[in-house]
Amino acid sequence: MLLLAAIACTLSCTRALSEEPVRVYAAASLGPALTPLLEAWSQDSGHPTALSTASTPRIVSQLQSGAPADLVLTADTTWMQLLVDNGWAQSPVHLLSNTLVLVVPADSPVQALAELQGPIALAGEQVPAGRYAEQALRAEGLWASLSPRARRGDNVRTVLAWVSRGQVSAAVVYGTDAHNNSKVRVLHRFAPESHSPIEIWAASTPDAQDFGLLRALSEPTAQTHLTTAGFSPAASAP
Amino acid sequence: MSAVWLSLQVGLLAAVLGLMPAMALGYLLARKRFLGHGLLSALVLVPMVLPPVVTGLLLLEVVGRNTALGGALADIGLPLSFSFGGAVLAALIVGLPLYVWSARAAFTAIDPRLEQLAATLGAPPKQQFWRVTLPLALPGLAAGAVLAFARGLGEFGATAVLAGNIQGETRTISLAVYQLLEDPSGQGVGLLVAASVILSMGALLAFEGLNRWQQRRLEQP
Repeated sequence: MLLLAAIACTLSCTRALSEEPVRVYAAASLGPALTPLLEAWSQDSGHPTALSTASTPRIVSQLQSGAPADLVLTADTTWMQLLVDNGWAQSPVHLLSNTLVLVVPADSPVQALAELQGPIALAGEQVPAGRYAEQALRAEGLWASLSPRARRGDNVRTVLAWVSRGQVSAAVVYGTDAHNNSKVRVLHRFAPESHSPIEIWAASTPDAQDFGLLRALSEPTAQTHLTTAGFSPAASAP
Repeated sequence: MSAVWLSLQVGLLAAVLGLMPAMALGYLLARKRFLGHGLLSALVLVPMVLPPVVTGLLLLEVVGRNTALGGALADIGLPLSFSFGGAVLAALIVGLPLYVWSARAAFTAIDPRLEQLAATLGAPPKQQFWRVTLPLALPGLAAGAVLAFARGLGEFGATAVLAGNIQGETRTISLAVYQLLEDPSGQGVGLLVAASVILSMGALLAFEGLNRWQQRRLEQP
């Protein structure tokens, strides 16, 4: 107890000086596009932000453990639904859509799916990117041949890092991960109907202090930035 | 760069806040014989061998915001999960075994006859501790602080579970490097790696120096 009191004193002394940031918990796939966007918003609005990225299910479990999020962005509908059902998030907005692709290292000689050899990386079973990948590979009749060689990564960015460094022969990632990335080459684009729609949802938490950040993310300026990063605009309001 | 500064803050706070507990526990374990001595010793040291992720999970069960204690602490402005405080607590708990170990060794090495000598000169027990024992053990305590600082600097598992990966708040060097591994461009990772190596080596050199000072101090009382 004494120890906690000591920590309390020290922390309140060192931390109280700065303003509480708007805490954004976002799916790993959104990190690269979101970082500059949040910086720009902070400059305009004067409110600092703190971005925390992980795979969508890990973010859900962090919120479940009481992580103090103001805004949460998931890479699929199912996990957002779970957040809303449990009262950890409210009034979700369908922000963007994404696509699914199979990439190989940029210098790979492979030209067709049939030529693929060696390990293929997929995001984890519970991670949205991993679920979409499995659905799409099954729908296109590739699951039986590829699944024995599947290597599951922590989240989609892990998988992308593996393939970018040539550690695996191929990986199933989001279209945005391959966009403007010179280290990988898209070998195959999965048909949108081969997997559930890849929808990015944003929601505020019950006691959120977001100073209009959620609204700003849906506005044209932000949407333009995000589509430049390879996302597609949300098809229609839910 | 903010990750380096953050790690320094976390490591330093862990070393400062751990001083009193490490000193008390080290002295207790070195000098006193009591029921549960072995149990206490094991309990203090267990974070050193427990998988850090498990330590983090256990801490989350105790000070997480959904627990009575964690909720109360968050209410008074001291959240110890998914916050800077959580990162400090994780570093502190994981570093404490090294801290206590070093303090205990320092107290053990001091000849009890020196304290008896002080007693014959009329010093009460309290004064014996503050005027004789503690000054002799000081370099060892400082060495422990340096080790705890260095261990806290590199903390990963418990921090990730208890404090999350929040930029500018809990994303220390370890977490930032791990994060950058997911970035194919890998920009900025070199700086963080260099900072880690320099800080860790610096801490261990300081530890060596302090250890030598401790030995010299005990040879020339």
